[in-house]
Amino acid sequence: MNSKLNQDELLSLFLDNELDHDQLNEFLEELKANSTLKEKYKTYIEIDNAVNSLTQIYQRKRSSIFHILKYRAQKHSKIVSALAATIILSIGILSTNTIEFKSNNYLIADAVSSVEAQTQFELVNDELIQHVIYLTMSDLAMKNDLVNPNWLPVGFVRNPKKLNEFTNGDEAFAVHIEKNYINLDHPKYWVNDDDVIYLHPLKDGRLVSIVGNIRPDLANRVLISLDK
Amino acid sequence: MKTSVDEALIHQIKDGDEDAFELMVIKYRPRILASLLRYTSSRELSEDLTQQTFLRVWEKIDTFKGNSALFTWIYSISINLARNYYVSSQGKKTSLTDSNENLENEVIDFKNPENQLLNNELLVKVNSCLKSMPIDLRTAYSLRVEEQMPYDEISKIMNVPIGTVRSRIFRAREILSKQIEDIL
Repeated sequence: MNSKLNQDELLSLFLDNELDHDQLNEFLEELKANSTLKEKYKTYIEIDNAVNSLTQIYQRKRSSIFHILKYRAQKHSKIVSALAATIILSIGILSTNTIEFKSNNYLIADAVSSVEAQTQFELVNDELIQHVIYLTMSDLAMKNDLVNPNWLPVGFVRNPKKLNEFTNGDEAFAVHIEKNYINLDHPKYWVNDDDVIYLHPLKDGRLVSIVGNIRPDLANRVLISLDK
Repeated sequence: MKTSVDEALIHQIKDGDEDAFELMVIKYRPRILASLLRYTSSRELSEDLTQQTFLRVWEKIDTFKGNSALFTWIYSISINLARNYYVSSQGKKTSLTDSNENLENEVIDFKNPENQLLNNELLVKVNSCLKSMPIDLRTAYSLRVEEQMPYDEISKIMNVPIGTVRSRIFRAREILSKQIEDIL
């Protein structure tokens, strides 16, 4: 199978430890002898290192922003870390699907543990899962340029340094808006302790996502106000 | 059966293979240099200590038993060299202070990471490229590079064949490569 792959594809597998013993040793010899391939090897390593640096930067950046605003900085940091670390578990165990959101937190707890919710997980759109994984893995996805600077949820203040982050003193969240390329047609959310990832399709064809320690009912009200 | 790249490199380096050693240096030098920059706040000193580190690695590779990851072992050598430097140069603090003046864009700024991002063209380009990359590619690539997941796990999470994972990660790397080729 690998004979059909070109050298750059093999290099990618090599870097990821995905070649078997013989393939690896064969490729190593090629890499040592081929200066063009070696340059590509350097480039791929630079890229991987850059991505890891970005992850560290954004983790610190998120932490420092919340520290400046003096609201539950440590808690938020734990939230994001926990979500990042447990998102797979969350999808598998805690995933729930709000067909029609009702302002009752108890419904969430019921939904989370219900057999129905866990069954629904099997039906969740693959792209949706990817979207949520990405949102929770890294700040890289949390764009703020599409959030109207004049929009402010009732009772919240905006982070002056990051237009898509808001707090009301107890709760904090970040908003991400982009085209609804996953064609989500009704709201969905994931809960993990106090924390929520809430996705809401807007009437204008975009998808808004909220990530943070905010009650789902409040997140829902915020999202509805954004949709008006 | 899979063999890790590091295992293969170590085996060949122990046999005196300088080309394998070069590949190992290419792989780990940037991370060692970055960690020394954080430790010493001096570009010149960090470069020097990095070179000493890899010389030491070449000399001592036979003592590496594989009880830790290769990077951990190299990292510990580099930090020990840095500590030894500071112990032996306690009376030379002036020169260290002087060298700090040229570090504005080189030392990682923990207090202002956004500035660190803005000051690094490579990071800016990679960041921008990731944001515009198709989500299936960036997810597969991020799970691999940030979370260090093997392809079979990524395949299960994304519910796609392993060949698709391989293809997505490769395509992500290619897109990123093309974006940064003018600055490397």
